Amino acid sequence: MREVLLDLNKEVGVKGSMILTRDGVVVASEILPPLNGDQVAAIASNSIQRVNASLKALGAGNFSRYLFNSTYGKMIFIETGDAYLVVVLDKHINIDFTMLAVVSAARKIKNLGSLA
Amino acid sequence: MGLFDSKRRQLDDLEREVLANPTPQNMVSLVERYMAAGNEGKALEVAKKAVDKFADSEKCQTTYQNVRRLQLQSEIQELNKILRKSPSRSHYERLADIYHKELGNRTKAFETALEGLTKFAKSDGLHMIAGQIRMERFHQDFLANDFTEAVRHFEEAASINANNYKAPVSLARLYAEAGSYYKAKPILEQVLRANPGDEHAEKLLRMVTENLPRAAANLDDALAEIESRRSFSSEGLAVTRIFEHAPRASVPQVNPMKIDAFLVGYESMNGYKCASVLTREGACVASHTRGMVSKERFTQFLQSVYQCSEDASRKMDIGTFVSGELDTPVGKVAMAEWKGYILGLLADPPAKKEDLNAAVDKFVSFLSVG
Repeated sequence: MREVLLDLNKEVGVKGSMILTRDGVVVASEILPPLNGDQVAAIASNSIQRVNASLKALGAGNFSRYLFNSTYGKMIFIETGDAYLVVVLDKHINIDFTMLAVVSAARKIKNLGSLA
Repeated sequence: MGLFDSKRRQLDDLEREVLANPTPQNMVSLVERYMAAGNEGKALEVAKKAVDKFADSEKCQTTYQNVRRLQLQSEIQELNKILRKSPSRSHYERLADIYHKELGNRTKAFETALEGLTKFAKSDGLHMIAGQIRMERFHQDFLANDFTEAVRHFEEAASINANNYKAPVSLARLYAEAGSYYKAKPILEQVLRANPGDEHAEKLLRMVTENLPRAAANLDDALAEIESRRSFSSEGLAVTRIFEHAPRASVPQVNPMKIDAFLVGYESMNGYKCASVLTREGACVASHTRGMVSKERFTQFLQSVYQCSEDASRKMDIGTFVSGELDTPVGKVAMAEWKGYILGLLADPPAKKEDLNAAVDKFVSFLSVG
């Protein structure tokens, strides 16, 4: 899984990636400086749980993809079976192009998870 | 009549159109035509005009950056090559300056400045660029963290180079914008002793002295108030006006009834389920549903997801929420912030991503024309 994250981090504009379970436990993390891995994990874990709790209140199941753009960056969360792939991105990227790499990484992680 | 004549005529037509009725779209098209014709000078001239006229248009900004990037490409490549082999502070300063001033790419400029500071912590130039970018971010998002970081960088720049009077002026500006006049006054007096006649410093000192009785009692409380209000007080805006000539666009006040009526229009969209509009503070302005999902429950959901995205943005130090997408078992959700309003829209197939994007664009146009 670490290799998948390292490959993903080579894509243009990717500042780091990690895999978290639905309840926020870090499975693997490759967050690049100046970002702080522990801080990103805490924020990502909180976001996954809050969005899924909001969906539950709406009467729906867990989300499969969540992307938000901020003034100076982006974050993507993609479901990979029992876990989520979280990717931190630069603002100035072609999101459609990068999304292909993110989806491909998520698929590989899902396959690795099912093999294990 | 050849191909050249036809292209020349098309260019003439576009020039006339831009002159008569300039829009971001036709100005960008004209820039692209000039670039294709190899006329970089005219392309840059129109791109600059487009950015000045439509400061909020990301398309105009990107086009201007692209034209400038093409012109500066060889210098950027050369600087990057030098920085890999034998980095120096002056090369970092030049590269960060190109990204910041020439290309308007704050993210790259900030990253370059921070990378340079890890190697050359005593570069007042890099602290100035990092401070200016933090200050610009503070003016855009009103986050206290950006204020604190801008102050830290300007203080560093001033302590490294006592002749750098721009750093203390920027420091005083920040304090004055936050209403901390007692902190701003001695800094300005010191600047004017060393550099008498600085127009900005003189104007600011006059304003600060007049407003001393109305100074904020506590800087942290003043910053918290600015952050929650997402704007300066009228005195803070007066400080900003000393340094910026162009007036800032004010937040439009739209009648909630009009937004309600606008949301009804989404019924014609395939797959549309419901929509809600919030203020930045999370209060519901209007909502609408086709009936499958309760609008109250969707509004609560949007409030929660927006707040979660906003919190994450701030904690990640990447500014404030701009837009978002969410794929859920009940459909796709598109969210976007524009001029202080947050739109959330839920739709199911056959609605595609493009349909949701078009629906969000409609909302943006609606707010833009009031």
